[in-house]
Amino acid sequence: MNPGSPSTNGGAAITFVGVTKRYRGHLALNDLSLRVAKGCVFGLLGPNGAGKTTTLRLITGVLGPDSGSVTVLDEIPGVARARVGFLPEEKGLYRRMRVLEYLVFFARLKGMNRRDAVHSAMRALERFGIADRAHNRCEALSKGLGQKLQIATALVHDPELIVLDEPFSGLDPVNVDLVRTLVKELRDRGRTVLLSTHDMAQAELLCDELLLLDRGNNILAGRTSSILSAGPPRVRVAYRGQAPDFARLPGVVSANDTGQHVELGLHANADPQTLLRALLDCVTVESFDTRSASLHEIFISRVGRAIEPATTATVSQA
Amino acid sequence: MRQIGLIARREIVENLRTKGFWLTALSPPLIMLLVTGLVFVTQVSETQLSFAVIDHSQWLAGAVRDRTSTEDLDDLLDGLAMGKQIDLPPRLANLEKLSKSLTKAQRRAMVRTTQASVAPTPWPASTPWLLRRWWSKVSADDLPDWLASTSRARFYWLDNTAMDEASLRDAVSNDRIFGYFVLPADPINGGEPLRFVSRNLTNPDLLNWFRATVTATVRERRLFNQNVSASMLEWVNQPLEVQTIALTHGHANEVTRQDLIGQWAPALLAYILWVSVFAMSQMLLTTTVEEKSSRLADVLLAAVTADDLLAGKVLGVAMTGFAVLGVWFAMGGAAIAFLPSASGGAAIHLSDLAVLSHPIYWLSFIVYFLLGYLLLASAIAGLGALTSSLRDAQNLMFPVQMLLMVPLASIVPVSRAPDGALATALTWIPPFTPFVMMNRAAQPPSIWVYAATTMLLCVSIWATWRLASRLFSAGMLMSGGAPRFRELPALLRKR
Repeated sequence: MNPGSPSTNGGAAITFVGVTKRYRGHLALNDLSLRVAKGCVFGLLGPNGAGKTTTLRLITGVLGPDSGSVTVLDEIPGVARARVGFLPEEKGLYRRMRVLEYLVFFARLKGMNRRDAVHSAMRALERFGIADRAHNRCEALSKGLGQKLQIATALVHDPELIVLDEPFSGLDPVNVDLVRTLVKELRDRGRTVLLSTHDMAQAELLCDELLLLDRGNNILAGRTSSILSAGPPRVRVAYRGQAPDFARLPGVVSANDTGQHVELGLHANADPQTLLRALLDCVTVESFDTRSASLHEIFISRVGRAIEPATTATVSQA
Repeated sequence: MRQIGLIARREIVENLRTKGFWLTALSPPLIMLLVTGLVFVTQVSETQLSFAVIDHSQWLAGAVRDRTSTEDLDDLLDGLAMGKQIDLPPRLANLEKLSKSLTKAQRRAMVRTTQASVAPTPWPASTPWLLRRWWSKVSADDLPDWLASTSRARFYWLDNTAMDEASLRDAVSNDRIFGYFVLPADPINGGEPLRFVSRNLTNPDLLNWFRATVTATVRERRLFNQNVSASMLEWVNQPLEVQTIALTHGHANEVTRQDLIGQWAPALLAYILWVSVFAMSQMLLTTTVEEKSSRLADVLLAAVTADDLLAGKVLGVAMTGFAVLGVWFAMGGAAIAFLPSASGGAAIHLSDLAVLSHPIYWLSFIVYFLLGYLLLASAIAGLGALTSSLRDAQNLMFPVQMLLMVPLASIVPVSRAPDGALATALTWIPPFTPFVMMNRAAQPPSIWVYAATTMLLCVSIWATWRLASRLFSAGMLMSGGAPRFRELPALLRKR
């Protein structure tokens, strides 16, 4: 399945065709095909070891595929480097470099001349509210500020494609909002954003399209709205009385009972009214809410286990 | 190329900001300066080795004392004849002028003249006596550096006529004297040894000097007893003069200080080359491991290729190396320029180093620094990228460091025999070639050896670079511990 319809600009920012990649005998990606439309926010989801980092490294041209082909911005990934911004999951800084100097260095590596690089770096620092730290050494930055600098580094050369690996980890709620707003701004400016994250809730909010990976395999892909609407219905019930065996009720496939509340997962074609009547025969129902499954629940239903919580991001320095 | 330049520039600037760079740049010349200063100070302040003599023969000690004075005065007069300076008492004020006017044989004769054998001579009759009298009383502290090798400056002969052996043993035990000698009753016929008593058996200077002087004195007396005339004795004892000719650059010239510098400079340059290549490779290893362990590799490799990153780092550290060498040579030059005046003019002069302007020295040094560094640095960067910590890196580097001990250990043997079997064999082993070829510059091999070894080095660098860049690109992205040995071939194949 090739997710990503030409939602805005048309054409593909990223195309994978039958890509397989192995490391030291371990299958990291298995015959992955993928199409990311230009101008969309694309979510790459999956647990640790799913193949997300490998996918990102193939996109940034750091790695080449063992088989299959990868195209980025209509070029082979290595050639497109200067048009791609990348925020890695494990974030490192040159600790003795000054903040502005650090940004200028990476902007120039991406092809900018010195004057434009300085101008653009100052703008990026102002955008992230760290312009007053421009002449501080990177080692003087807090973890959160270090991460902001990393995000600024990915954006300083105004790339067409921005690859963000776990951009929210390690940020406080205010800065999570800042990054979310930034991603939306980038989309509005016609940039393509590829977001790799454990955070299903953020992905639900931001991504136009998604790809769920597990152990190198494409588990689920498509438009976010379609995935969510196609998910199995859920019911949340507040009740009083002796709890029955909820899993035996009609249409129920899973139950998570906390005593006063129960979260019921239903078959795709289950009738909530039939379930409500069955519940009323057993307990006093205080509330009965139907809703779509979350991405997290969809993932569990597909792979049979939860995604591990996101690890705390660290900003390393050299 | 632009990106290589940017990475190289960042490496240089980053390295210049580290304490490690300044330690590397300043510590070797400062340590050398400190050691030289210590040697100088200790030489200046070194106390004479004092000793005593018990003479059972009743004549040998006096003869030895005369002999040592005679040899010292030969040195004194030779020095004065060469224009060296010394403060002399007023009655010997004309000694310098006199020495210059005499032949070497006349100077020898004047020193050996006794009052009893005065004859018409080119020197005033009282001069030999005055000279010996002054010499017997002059303090070693008053002697200039150029007389530092005389026995008068090095040893103090204690007047021990009132001391028996027990008292001398006591003096040795309490470190009041360095040692004492007991001369046998009949040294001419032998049978009884010359005894030396001291607590210090590690410093052989006094023993060697005294034994040589006593032996020469006894031999002379034996010949005299066999009716060999004094003039015959003088003739027999006359050493053969040696004139050393250096055949350098096709010309035969008497050996000068510059020639000696030219002979020893390659060994020193080979040593500096080794230290600088080793230090710069270590610096490259450190920055590579730091970049990998701090996860900068991902973002760097998303901006440039692994080959460009490796090339930029290697070039940047090479430039840093030239900066370090610049500091070393500048400090060395400054020390040479200023120290002679501080040490009384006995040291090397800056003008003596003009010999090093020959391309065989400076061009060899630059070329072999670059080639040696490129060969070692590419291997070290490739291997260093496989590790995640400096400790792992040091463990992985241990065999490489052991290998590099070979050219270091061979510096002295190769400099003594630049065309010997060892030098010839090591020349053709690429990791050793730069150091050995530098060391052979005093007696350079033929041009084809230079051409062939340079070609060999270039091919080795190319092959090492290809393997290293594969290891580097795979290693920089690798997490966890270093790969197992059996995994290396797969890493080398992958791109």
